Amino acid sequence: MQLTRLQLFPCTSSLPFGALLVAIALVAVACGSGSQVANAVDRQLDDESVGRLSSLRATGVGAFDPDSYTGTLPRDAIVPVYEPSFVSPDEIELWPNELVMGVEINGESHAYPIGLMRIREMVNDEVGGVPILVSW
Amino acid sequence: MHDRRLDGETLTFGNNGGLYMNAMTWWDHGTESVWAQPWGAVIRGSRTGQSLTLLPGEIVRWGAWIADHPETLVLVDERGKHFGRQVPNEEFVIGVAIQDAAVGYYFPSAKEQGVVNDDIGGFPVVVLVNQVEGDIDVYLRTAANPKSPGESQSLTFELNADGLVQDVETKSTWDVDRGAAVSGPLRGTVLQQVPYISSFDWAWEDFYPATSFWGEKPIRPLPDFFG
Repeated sequence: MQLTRLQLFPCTSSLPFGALLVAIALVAVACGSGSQVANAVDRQLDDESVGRLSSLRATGVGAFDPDSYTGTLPRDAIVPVYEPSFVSPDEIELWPNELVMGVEINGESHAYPIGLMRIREMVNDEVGGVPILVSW
Repeated sequence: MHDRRLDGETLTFGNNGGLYMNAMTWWDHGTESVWAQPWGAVIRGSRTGQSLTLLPGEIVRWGAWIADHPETLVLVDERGKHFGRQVPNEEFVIGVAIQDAAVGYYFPSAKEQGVVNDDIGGFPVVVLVNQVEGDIDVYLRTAANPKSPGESQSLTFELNADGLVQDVETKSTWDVDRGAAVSGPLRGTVLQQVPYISSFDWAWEDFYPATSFWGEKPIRPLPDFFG
């Protein structure tokens, strides 16, 4: 799927001009101050936004070169996380300066401490209703 | 961070154990095809030619993440009490690949500058790095033109005297984490977020050989395991 640059911008893609104005007005009314504007913008990931991300997707995956593949370990020797468990921040002690991978989708946020990702490497998860693969 | 959905199916991924061009490989439980992580694409098996959509995620200090996401949940597992901690290492590139073009932004240079306006394969892109926390956000710098409704315009971002990110064209100020204009003529406008990968420059170039690099390559001390 190829989209033009103009189509990539959601507000100008398919809405008729009138609807665009209404949408802008609604946003303006709904947002009294700057920070409220920002808070109103959840990271929404519906089919349309996934489609936009998909259209940006890199092309040019090279042909498989067997000489570039080195088999070092059996499958799942580094055990992936298939059924992740989570705690709230007050149940875990993390250093303020340690790194996490963070994702926010449809108002839901998950953090994956990098120290743990180095051991497990892969997490099959679901955030905000979207199934995701987190890998390190 | 990838979307596991492909053609209406949700895939489950395991660790294939081998390395492809020195990067990790996955296997999917449905067809046992082998995937290369930096592409999120199949390199061998019946799904060859297919790839996952890369989603925006970030690698960030815990302190900054919890400040922005107080309701976050945190992954734990049975080995959770014993794992090491990873503190920031700045010797990486912010890798952005759009369609057939790619750029690797050296993190220290991008952090020093804070705002990088660029074009990747014809797409106007802005890379924003918080100069204190190091948070990274990448967006398409295209927005509706308030003076010419129905048309879009490219924006050029800069840091203003108060250290806030603003666009040169309208002087609107922006919430960097959300990609949203919070004051000025564009208030309420939201930019399209662009996913990126944090990578060593050599690995980025292996997988995206057409890449260019932006900024100054840091002088890198040898890693511990060579010493």
